[in-house]
Amino acid sequence: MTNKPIHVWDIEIRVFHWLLLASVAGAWLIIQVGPPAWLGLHEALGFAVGALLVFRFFWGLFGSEHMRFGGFVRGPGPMLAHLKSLFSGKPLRFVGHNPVGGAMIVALLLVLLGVCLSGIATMGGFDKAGPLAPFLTFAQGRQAKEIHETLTNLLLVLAGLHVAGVLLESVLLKESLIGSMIHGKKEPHAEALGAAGAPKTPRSAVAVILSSLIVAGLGLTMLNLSLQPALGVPALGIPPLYVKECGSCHTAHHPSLLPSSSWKLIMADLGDHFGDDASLPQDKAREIGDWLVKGADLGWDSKAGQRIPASLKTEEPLRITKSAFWERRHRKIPENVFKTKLVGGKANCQACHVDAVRGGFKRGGIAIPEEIN
Amino acid sequence: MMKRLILASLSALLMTGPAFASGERQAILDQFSTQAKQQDPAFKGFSAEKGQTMFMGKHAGGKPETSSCTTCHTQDPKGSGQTKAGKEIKPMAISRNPARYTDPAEVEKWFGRNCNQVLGRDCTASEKGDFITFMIGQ
Repeated sequence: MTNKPIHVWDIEIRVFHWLLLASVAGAWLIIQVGPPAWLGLHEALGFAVGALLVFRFFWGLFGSEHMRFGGFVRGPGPMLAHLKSLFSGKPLRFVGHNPVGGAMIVALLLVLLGVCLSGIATMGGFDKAGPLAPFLTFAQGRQAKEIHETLTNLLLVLAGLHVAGVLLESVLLKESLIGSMIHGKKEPHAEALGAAGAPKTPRSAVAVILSSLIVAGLGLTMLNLSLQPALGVPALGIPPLYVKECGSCHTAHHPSLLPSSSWKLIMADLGDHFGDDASLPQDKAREIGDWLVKGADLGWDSKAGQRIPASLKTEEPLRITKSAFWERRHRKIPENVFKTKLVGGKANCQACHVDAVRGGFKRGGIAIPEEIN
Repeated sequence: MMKRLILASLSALLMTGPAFASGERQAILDQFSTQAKQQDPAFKGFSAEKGQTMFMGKHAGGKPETSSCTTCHTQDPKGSGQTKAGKEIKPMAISRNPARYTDPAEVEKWFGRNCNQVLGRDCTASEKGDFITFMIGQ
């Protein structure tokens, strides 16, 4: 028996561990403090987490002994014995994951998988983007968003417990587990318990080839699906007449933003258009009005198309900016932003929403313009 | 010889755009002039100064929040304006925007809307002609 440190965590698992932490922390921080337009980066990091999870799955089947599921996933018996030993003052020592820690790894991986899947579902239904956009309704997207947020909170709790467990074991066993996850080594201890029944040689090639194939296949399938038309979002062309006549004073508001009953009222009195004279020759007004009514009646399962017409105030059936949804979504925008030269008014949606004319209003397409001095 | 031909045809091409536009604008002005004579036999011709007074001045009778043309178009006809809803309005001055006052339907639409908005009434043919004459000089 020598005192040479033993290699426990191979390079694959260490790189995986820290990449996973960086991706998850980055994705979480972007949503908490980042500008809305960074949603795309959040999503990209989410897909990266998904790819890492695929690798971890195959590393759990073909990796080194301490990384194999067969090596660290134990039943309730060993877990209880391990917990008891913690309180007895003679904590059991394990070379790889201890039984409770192993259960935590499984829990973290499963919750992360759920976070990824619910995130893609949120993207699909709520933002009508990504691989699930052709299949999910807006209502399903909203449910997915709640699940995504709940699972994320659960993930934060589990991550906190994971770190607490690492610190506790580091103190009780007087060894730096965080250091081990960096350099991969641990001090040898004669009494340390090894992995259960797993072979010692990793089959790296098998794991790498299989996970690459799965990631590439899933990636291409998802890319392909995300290019399909989204469910409930018709590909409506915007007529040049509408852009010219209505879009010269304000954003050419998308027909999905109001019910056809509201469009009829607006087009019936252009002489008093929210207090201004916006008169048009009758033939042009009729052509635009007919198109708006038809467009609105197509039915829109998009975020704006679902939420704005449904939350209009009964006393203000024509004002998009008085809908409860609009007000709630813009509550954090200071009034003076709307008064700047670059925005100019609440009806100038496209000053901040790059996809306003198409009725998209995706979070990733929001940027409040700033004056360059 | 060839070079000269090319140069000549190029400059001819460059000339046609604005020349064409000014012809259309003149046709609109001529029509306003005919109408003005019908409305007032003493009408002598359009005046850029009157057009300037109309553009710069404050008016009663229209909407209080848009009491002058300059509310949206700004004091400088050569600069861009901004609608109440935030959209850019291209310059009114012909020197900056040669396409102005060349489409009779557009001219009717905007005088129709904005005279009502600012003055609370339709503009007369001589007022419209004065206004365009002022902008031609800008």
